[in-house]
Amino acid sequence: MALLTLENVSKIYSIEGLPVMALDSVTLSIEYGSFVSVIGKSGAGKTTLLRIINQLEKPDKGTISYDRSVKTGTIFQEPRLIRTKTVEKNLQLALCREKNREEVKNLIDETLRMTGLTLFRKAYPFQLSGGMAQRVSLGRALCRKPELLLMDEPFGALDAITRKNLQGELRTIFRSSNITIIFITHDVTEAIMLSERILVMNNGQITDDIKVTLPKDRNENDKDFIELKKHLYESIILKENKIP
Amino acid sequence: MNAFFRQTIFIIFLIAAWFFFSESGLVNSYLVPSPIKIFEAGIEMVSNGKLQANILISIVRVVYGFCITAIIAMPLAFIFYLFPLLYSYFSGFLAFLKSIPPLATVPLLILWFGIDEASKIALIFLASFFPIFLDTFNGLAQVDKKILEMGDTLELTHFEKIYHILIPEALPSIITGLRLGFAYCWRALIGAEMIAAASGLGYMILDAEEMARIDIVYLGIISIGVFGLVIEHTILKWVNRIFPWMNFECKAK
Repeated sequence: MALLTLENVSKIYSIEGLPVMALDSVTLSIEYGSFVSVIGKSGAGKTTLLRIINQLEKPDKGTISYDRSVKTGTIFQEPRLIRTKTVEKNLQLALCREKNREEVKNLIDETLRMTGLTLFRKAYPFQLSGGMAQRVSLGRALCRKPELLLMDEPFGALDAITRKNLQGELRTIFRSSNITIIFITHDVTEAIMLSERILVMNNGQITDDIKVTLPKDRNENDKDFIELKKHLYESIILKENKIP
Repeated sequence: MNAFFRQTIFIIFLIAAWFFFSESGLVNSYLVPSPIKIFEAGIEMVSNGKLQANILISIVRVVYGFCITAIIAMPLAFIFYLFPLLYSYFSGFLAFLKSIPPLATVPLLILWFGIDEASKIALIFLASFFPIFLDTFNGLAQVDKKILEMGDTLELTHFEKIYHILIPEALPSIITGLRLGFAYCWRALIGAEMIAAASGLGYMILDAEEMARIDIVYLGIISIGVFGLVIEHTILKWVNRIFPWMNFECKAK
């Protein structure tokens, strides 16, 4: 069952008067409960695709339709926390319409536990490391129990160890709920590690759509893993050379 | 050696040098009286209650003027931020007003408001309006659009975004404006009291000059400095206690 469908979606930006085709007739459907990664070089249209799915922007051409109204959670490249609010208050922002105080408290306690931030409940963003701040933003997106999680290179700015840990947490979240995740990254290994389906983008088009058939516990030294990685690198590089 | 200790050493050195020059007769002791004479003048003014009374009056004026300014300047900045079209009508006139030193308007203020409290409050208002207004306005205008967009992804309404994101994000700048505004109030007040007043620290200094009590002039100047310092230090301490991020935000700038 498709949660959302894009049909011939195009988006054109004007940069200093010159039109730039950010998305070029993208047709795509995302199934319920899938983990889809979108990879591609910078400027390939990944973020634009996500912004359109997120309804932060309207397509210039084509249509986007949701199966029904779904609750989404978004995680950006930067944590985008409010600097004058504690971790707890930053999380509360996602629940500001929830009237039941007991319920809010429970949800926040649960989120803090899950993201390992219980001890930092009263800390301000300036007291957090980059990884912790990004965990708060992950928590903020998750505490309202989204059905669709949209992630735009969320771990791009983090160190390798924090990144691995958060990837593990994300995997756990995905397995333990029936959430749908769209994950943008420029890191091919990360995409293979996490997802079940990988879309390759080049010049605003989806040029490759791969189902990942690797086992649940993946090892980047496996033959199949390396094989897929090679294929994806070629997919990104070759397409670039074909299109002028 | 900590900073406070070093600062104190310098002040002690300064007083000692002052004492030496005034007592040795190297400088005119009428123009630069000995610190002891000023200390005696202090005791005299405290025991007859004049110093406390004048300080109190000055403080009441500053607090009064500051509160009126804050109540007007902050909402105005907010309205102008929310309605940029409206602001575009006023921005030129505000830039013109900003370039006028408040003291230049004193003759007008006295004609309009008389020599009572109203003209002093008006001068304080003019002196502190712009720091409060501009820092509030810029604080709001400089809120990262990306953070407001984050509010969109949480499906917040316009009002919820203003209340939960815009104001908290602009708060460091607003508080900086209020602090600056308060300091400006204090400076402007002394000016106002020297031009037309019958009480307050500024008046005390001018009155002493006319009475040829140069020691009281010094006392007044020192009192202004010490009081300004104490007030600013106290405010800073409280601000940093209530808003722990303030120290960090100021350093980042």
